[in-house]
Amino acid sequence: MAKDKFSKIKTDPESLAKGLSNLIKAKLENTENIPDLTKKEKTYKAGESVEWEINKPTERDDAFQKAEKIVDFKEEGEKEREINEKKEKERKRLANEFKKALRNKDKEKIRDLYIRSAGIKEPDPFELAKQRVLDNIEKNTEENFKNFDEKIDAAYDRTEKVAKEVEEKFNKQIQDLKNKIDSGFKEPKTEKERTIEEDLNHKRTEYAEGYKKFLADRKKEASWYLNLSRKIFGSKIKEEDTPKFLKDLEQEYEKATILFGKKMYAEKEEELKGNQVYMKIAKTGEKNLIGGPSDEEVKAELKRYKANEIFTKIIIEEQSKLNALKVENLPVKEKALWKKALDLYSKQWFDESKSKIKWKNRAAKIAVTTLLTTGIVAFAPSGASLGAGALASYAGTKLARGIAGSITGQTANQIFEYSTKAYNWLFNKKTSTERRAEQEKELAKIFAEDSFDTSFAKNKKEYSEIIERERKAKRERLITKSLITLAAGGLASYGMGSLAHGLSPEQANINENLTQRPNIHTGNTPVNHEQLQNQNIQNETIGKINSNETSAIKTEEIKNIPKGTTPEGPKIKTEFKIEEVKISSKGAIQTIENLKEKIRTDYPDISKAPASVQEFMRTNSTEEAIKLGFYNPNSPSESAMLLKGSTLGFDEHGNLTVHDIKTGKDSILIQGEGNKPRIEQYHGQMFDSDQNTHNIDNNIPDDQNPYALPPQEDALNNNAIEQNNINTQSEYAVPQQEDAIVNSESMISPEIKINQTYSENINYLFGDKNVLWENLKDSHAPNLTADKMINYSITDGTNEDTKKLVNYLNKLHEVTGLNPIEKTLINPAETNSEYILRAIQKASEMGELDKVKL
Amino acid sequence: MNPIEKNIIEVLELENLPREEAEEILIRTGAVIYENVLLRVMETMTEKDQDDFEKILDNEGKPEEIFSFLKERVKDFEKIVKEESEKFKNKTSNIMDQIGG
Repeated sequence: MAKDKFSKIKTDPESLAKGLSNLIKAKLENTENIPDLTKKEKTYKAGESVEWEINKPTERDDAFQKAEKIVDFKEEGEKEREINEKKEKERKRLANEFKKALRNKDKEKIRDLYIRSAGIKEPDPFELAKQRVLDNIEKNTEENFKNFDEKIDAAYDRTEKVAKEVEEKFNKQIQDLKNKIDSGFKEPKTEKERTIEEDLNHKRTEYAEGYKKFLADRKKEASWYLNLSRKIFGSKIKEEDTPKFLKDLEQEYEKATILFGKKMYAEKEEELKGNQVYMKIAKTGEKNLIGGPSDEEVKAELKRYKANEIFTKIIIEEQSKLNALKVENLPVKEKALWKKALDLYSKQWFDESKSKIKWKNRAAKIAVTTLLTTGIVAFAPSGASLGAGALASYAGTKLARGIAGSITGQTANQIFEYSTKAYNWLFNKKTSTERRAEQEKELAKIFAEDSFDTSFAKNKKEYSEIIERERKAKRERLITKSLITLAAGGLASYGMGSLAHGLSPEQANINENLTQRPNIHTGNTPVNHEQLQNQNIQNETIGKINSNETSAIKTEEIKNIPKGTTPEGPKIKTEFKIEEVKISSKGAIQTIENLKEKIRTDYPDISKAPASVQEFMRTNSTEEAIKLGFYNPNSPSESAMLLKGSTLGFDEHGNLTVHDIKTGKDSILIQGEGNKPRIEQYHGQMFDSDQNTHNIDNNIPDDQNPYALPPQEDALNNNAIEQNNINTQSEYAVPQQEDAIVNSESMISPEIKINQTYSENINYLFGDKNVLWENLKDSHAPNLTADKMINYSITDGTNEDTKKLVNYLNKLHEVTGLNPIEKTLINPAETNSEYILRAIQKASEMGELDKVKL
Repeated sequence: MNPIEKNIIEVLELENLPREEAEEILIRTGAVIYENVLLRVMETMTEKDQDDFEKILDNEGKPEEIFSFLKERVKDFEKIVKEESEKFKNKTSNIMDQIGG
């Protein structure tokens, strides 16, 4: 019966209208039958119903829509169930295959299963919640139909409530699980144990939780006041209204942010100063900088780093993360709108590669940014020009301090004029088309590209030079280390000329090789040892920063550098720069994009780049991926597979090279020499990314969970890229399969890791001597149990296999402190396999698994 | 560089960055302030305003359409922008001043 009604509603909304009409009539009849009502009241109630029917068709329409949605939900629920059943079967099949593969130690199969299961997702909590509500609705359809509109509203409220509960519970479970995995199933760290970054994450979450509680309390308190709760977000929370606990949490969060920023700064400073190479004159104690960036350059680079990387990390990213947590407190609709509005802002307005807006000039971009970053137009009366008072007000704000310090009256007026124009353009939508075109023209003139001064270009050049110097300094430092090592070994004279006169990257390479073969002539100016020794100056080369431990080049004797020498390196061939990016887990196309981005930064003038680089930059990234053999759309195994940590980049000769971390080999893909670069395709392993489409069920036990498959290879998965591109339209979308691939290592359960370690260690100890291990592993023979084997006295005549096993048992004991269980009256002694497995488990619990791996 | 842009860069101490980087930072900064502004304005909208706003967003409205809409429908929109902008700068200044030299 219930199904029939739903089915009718779905196919014929008109019948719902009739149903509702009858319902209203019934209401009237019912009203008549209510004895306690006065005639006036009865008339009023009937009238109310009739009014509802006649005058409020939109409400009725809403009811139809809601009814249809309910039916949709129901159908979706059924579909979902069907899909889940299929997924369940697939999961079970995969889990069985996985278990089998583990038993058979079939690594290829395990890797294959891993790849196929990498796209597994968690179930959508909202779907689960909807299903629960729909189940209830179905049970009570008759009753619901009688009081249709009320029940629909109630059902929706309930859906929202249950969905929220389920989502919160689900998120908490997922978070707990992730925390456990992150911490290696250890107890949560105390404040002292947390790293600075972990502490920041912790404090951010605490603050967001506190904020949520504060909002909930406020809403509760305000609930008596009509609709006030809806205004809580919109109003600025006054200082005095903020409770102490929230202020404390905010302060703690801010402190953690500052601490993190300081850490970033200190690390960068250490890195930069570590690239400075000083020479100490033994006689005078004076230190001369002989390589790497100068103090001024370090200072300039630190300023840049602070303004960009640190600012981005601790201000921009932190604020965004916090907002993402805060927005979870918004009702569903507002939350969706917020995300949509941001998506439009970041993807359509400002990502020019995706934007449909043609920025003929930069006016709109600057107008929006100006508005938001300065609030400057907030002083402008609506649609009108700014008055003198407003300008004075603006000039007095903290915001304007920078302006007041450097801009005089005339320029302030210009700012005033420009901002007014930007404001009018941005806000005054009633302006005529002609006027609007004029406004845009004026703005274009003001914000024209060629009105930019060149100070930034200068900075950009300096910046590139600093980076180049840093690279050079690193090389020099490496070479210096090598040379000093050689010097200590009696080859003091070798290569000192090179060191004293600075080295180009090319020379550095030559010398790095030569340090392995010190007798080969370097091609540099020969060193006159006698003359140098006569100078009798003992110099000391030291790394300036952290000289207590990090500098490996201190207090070594260098005899050949004249006092006061400040070497000048040969001019850097900036047109041959080393460019390198890590292979992206998002695929070949993304990797190529990343490399292009880097090249764009390093070559402000691309015409100065080698022909191979220019050709690379001109080619569409997808085409490039195909040309290079990373992507073959015509093959079932269309995507290249490379280990995480592999790299792609141009070397100093303009060759495009892929470095495979698995094999340790470099393959040249584009030969940079000559004007016409030659392309060699990548011939490594390929795979079929279409197999990565299964979904996860978190109910599967860990030991059957296909998520836990162990291979660590990252796929250059071009399909994944496409998915990612779609996904990037919403930064809040569910992570796609490439994320799953990247994160899968951390998702491997400890049990799987333990079993893996056990299998690999046994394989290492006994290799193909299966029979030997079969006899040893479960043996209860008096001298072959673990407690006896661990105390076995190794002599010269001891068999190698026995030696290895005994040593390994002892190693397990050293790491874990566990002793093999000895025989008792009731229980037999622990066998070798039992002890090894137990000890590996213990090591895993201690977080020392790596120490027991062979 | 135009005076407005130059001033923002000075306020945010971005003068040490190459122009492209400074612009990128400005855009990101704008995005964060926009996030904050939206957090405040979203719930002050009536349901109808929300629906209308959604329509503009679905049609991938231009910046001037969005801002004009917000100014028209959200009370004290400009004040909210100003408050959020200043709040952001004060907070930034407080944090960044304590880092490095």
